[in-house]
Amino acid sequence: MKNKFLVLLLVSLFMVSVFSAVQAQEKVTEEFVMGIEDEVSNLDPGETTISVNERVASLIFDGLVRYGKANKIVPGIAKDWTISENEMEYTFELREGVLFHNGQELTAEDVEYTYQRILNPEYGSGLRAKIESIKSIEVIDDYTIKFTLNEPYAPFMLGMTFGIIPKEYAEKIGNEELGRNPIGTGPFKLEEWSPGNQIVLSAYQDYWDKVPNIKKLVIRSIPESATQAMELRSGGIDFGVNLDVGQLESFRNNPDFKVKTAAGAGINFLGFNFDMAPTNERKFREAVLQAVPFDQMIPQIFGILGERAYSMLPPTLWPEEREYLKENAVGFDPEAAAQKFEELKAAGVIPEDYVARVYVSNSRPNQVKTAEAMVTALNQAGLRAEVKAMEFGTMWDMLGRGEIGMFFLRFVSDPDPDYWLYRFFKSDGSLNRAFYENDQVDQWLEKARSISNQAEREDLYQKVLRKVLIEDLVFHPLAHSNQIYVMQDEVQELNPGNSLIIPLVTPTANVYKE
Amino acid sequence: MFAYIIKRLLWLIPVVIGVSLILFGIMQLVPGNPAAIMLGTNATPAAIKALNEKFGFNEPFHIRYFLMLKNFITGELDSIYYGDEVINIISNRLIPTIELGLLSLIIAVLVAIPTGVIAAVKKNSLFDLISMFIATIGISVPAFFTGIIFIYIFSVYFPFFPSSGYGGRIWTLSGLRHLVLPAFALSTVMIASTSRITRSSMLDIMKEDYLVTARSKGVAEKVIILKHAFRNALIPIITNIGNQLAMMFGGAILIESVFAWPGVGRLAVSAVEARDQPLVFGSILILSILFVLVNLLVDIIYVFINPQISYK
Repeated sequence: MKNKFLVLLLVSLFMVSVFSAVQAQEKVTEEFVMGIEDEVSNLDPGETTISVNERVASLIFDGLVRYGKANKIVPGIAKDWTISENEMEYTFELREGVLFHNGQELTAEDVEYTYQRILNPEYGSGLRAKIESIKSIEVIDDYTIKFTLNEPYAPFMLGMTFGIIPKEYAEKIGNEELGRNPIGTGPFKLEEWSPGNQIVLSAYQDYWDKVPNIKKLVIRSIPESATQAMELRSGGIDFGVNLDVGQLESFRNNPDFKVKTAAGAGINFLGFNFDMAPTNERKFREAVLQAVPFDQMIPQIFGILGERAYSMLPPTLWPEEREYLKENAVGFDPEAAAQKFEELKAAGVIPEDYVARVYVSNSRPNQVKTAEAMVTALNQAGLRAEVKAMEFGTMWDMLGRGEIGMFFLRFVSDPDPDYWLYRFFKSDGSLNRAFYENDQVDQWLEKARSISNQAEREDLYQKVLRKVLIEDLVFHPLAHSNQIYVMQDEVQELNPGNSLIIPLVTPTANVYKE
Repeated sequence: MFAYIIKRLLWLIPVVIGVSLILFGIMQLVPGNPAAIMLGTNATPAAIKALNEKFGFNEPFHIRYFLMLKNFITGELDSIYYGDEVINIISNRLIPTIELGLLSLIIAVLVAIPTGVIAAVKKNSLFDLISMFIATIGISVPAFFTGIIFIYIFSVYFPFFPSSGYGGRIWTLSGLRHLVLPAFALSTVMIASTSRITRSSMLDIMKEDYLVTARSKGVAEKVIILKHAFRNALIPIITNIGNQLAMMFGGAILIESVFAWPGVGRLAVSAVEARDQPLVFGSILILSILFVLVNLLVDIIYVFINPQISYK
């Protein structure tokens, strides 16, 4: 009897030690719940121009290449690639044995189908603009595919991050259905989707790269920042991305939570219309910038949500030009501003009854606050001004029609200067809302995208930035938005950095809970 | 009665046509192009044109209107933003909305009507003063604020209920637990207004001569209040509840946002933001049909309360 008891004790002790040893080593996390700020509407990777859709789809789909450390392009489904001498032929070598969530193997046919679908103008994909330079796609064998371009296009590789869809499945169920029942090769597969409420994903056990530590991932859409904060406190979510300044402070001082920030979630800037008087006068633009103490306002208004910007490009992106731009930026000088406004009024450039209207989207509280402070400063300097805070869709429409003289915008894009500058400053750029036209800038921008010599490209973008931000004052950068993650203290390896993905399983991280 | 209901239902047709015309007209006047908003910062003029072509935005006004109305009736109306049929999207959201609306209605009726009746019977008593004071606060404090306070107390400080989200259908435990806080938060406004109307309506009736007659006949006070007074006071109360319920179906947007509740209100707002015309059109039309149906229901209930009312 005594023996039996001893054996039982020993066995149970042994079991406990084995069990705890296993637990200490394994990082498997049964369930991980995260909150996102918006509702996911569609998970078709060809239609994900809406930020939350894009981020969630990035968990389900894989591209040929992906972003690694410091947003460098690293191999994804393609294990290697070669670029021809003339920079117009890209040949990708795919990994063998990459399986879609339905068990089918991914081949070059699927890659071709994915890109042809986006290229088809009738499909109307917002991603098409990024790969328009493709002339033809050629499947060489099951694991080799070649893209031929019309002309050299340096940022082409960023378009190779698009999620690859299974051709057979997509053709069978159609585009609409694909957006609701997505099948990719990514680290997670879709389990359940309760619209407007939550999306449940599970780790894909046959994933070609490291299988996620998180077994079940619940993504909940929680639009109210205050609610997300309370969900974090009550333990309802492990990770949230949508908190504003006031709540962040209380999390920072709380040892139960981690707050991590990283720059590069977008640029907030002030823009001027070159087709409209008096914003088309350089003297007027300079006076406006001199009248407003942006250097003091921005840190107070944005707090840890952003840092003062002097360049249009995020701090993580080349070329390193911030010092020059900072030193030569128009500084705060209210007397000079007042004098300029005086002179402009006398010269009739500013009409008698002129009221400067600063347009801002009411869904961006920090921009609204900045605009309000700016208007106060302008009034003090002798220019009558007012804030027009309006719903974004309406403002966007007015901007497109050139009815707005001064505006605040926020923009975010992929890590290549071409994506950030070409569309704003090229005469026929798709987002040239300043209606800015300059032949030389056009030439620089055109050339910089067609060559791949890094030093030369850096030089060209440097010239563009100096010209448009310092010499011509087209835009005035205000703040780089920070990406802010708040998580429970036990969450490990989760770091912000790229606002286009949710970095749960990346080349450098595999998130788990302790 | 039956003929009346049929007649009222037939009235739905001109209502739908009228609402849809106004709605469609307003949508044309609202600046903003769904294609430009959808394509966002990637928009090229060619891409916007292609997308407009795809969704038929280049057709003239009347053709687009009839096309939209036809698609709505046949259930083929497709949302731009969601890439799904409007009817699917809305029916997904309608159930959480109705669950939320009905539960807060039940809470409100159970709390507000007894409170209002007692406050009227014991006019100027301490109970009357306190309950009406609370009701005034209830009307003045916006529901989203009440919601946030509720979350803080009942989910963060005392973790009884989940803070937000939809937990499943109402008959499941998880569904009910998720529903409790938003339903109580939403019912506060309704409790406040219903109890005040109940009180004032009761007070009006209590002055009537027939109650004096009943009292002098020696009818018990309980019977006088519940049978004679309350029943006659019910008409304005029911009207108010009907209006509130109909508004709840479409107007619980703030509560839905605070509690991350996947309801119709939030859907309609995001549809407007995305300029998703088919979805705006479909969701508002369905909400207005619901409004008409709830009002019809209220009219039918009148007959049961007061047999003097009859419809021909």
